[in-house]
Amino acid sequence: MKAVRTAIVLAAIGVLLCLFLLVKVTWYTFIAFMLVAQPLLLAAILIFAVETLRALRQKGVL
Amino acid sequence: MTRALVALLLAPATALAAADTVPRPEGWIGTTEQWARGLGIVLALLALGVLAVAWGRLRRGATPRDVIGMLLFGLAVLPVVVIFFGYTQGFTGMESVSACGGCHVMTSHVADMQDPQSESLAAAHFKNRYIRENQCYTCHSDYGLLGTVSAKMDGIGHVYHYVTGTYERPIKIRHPFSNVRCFECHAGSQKFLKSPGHPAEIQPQLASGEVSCLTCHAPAHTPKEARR
Repeated sequence: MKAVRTAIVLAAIGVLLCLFLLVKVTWYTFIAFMLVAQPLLLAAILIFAVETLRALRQKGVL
Repeated sequence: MTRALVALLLAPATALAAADTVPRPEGWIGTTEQWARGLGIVLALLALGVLAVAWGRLRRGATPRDVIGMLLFGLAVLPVVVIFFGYTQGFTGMESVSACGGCHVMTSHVADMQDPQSESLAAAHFKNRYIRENQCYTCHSDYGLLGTVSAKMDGIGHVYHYVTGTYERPIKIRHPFSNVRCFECHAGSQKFLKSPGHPAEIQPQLASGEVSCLTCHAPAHTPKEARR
């Protein structure tokens, strides 16, 4: 549960940084998008994937 | 309702159109880029909404399994689409004059270029609309994919030097300006070929870069000193 919540927070921050870029393109929003938003979103997806796989294993599906 | 939604989506486009004095064709509904930007904003807000709802449900005692669809949509599907729109907007947006002039140290260069009284080469290109948009980027990047990537990397380096203060005044171009960038537009044009200033015997030297275009066409910029 904690991992999923962490993933949600990371994804929300990542999407928010993307939103800043879409609203106004500056070098600062662009660098935040390139260097922060994308790693955060990638981390969120990985955490979510790992948690999903773990849950499936526990249920004996995998 | 539909009209209101379209008006909301096109708000940035309308603002840009108002700022530009070029008349729009009849039935103007914005550019593809402006629509992509509006759609990206809507999808980003939707992703945040989905994540907020999933978070709320988890706090109220739901298990991750109960909100798996919501999580899949909000954590994986929508962010990937939003990143795609971020790339399209980010890469095109960073080519604009406002992006180049975003650091205070460059405002005097931009002001000089946009000054109708300026006699600099950049101003001549700007006021005569020789280059319609993204004037800084057009002259300061090589064409082709590598030129785009190289210009973006240089830009990130410029931001680093600006933020850390590791640069010297007055601002100078790092490498000699390449004639290739001038040739992208001018080479082959009758005005260039028939100009008495470009006799046939000197054209190979211009093409090889042995003689710089700026030897005769300087100064490229005449900025007044900017304050940080």
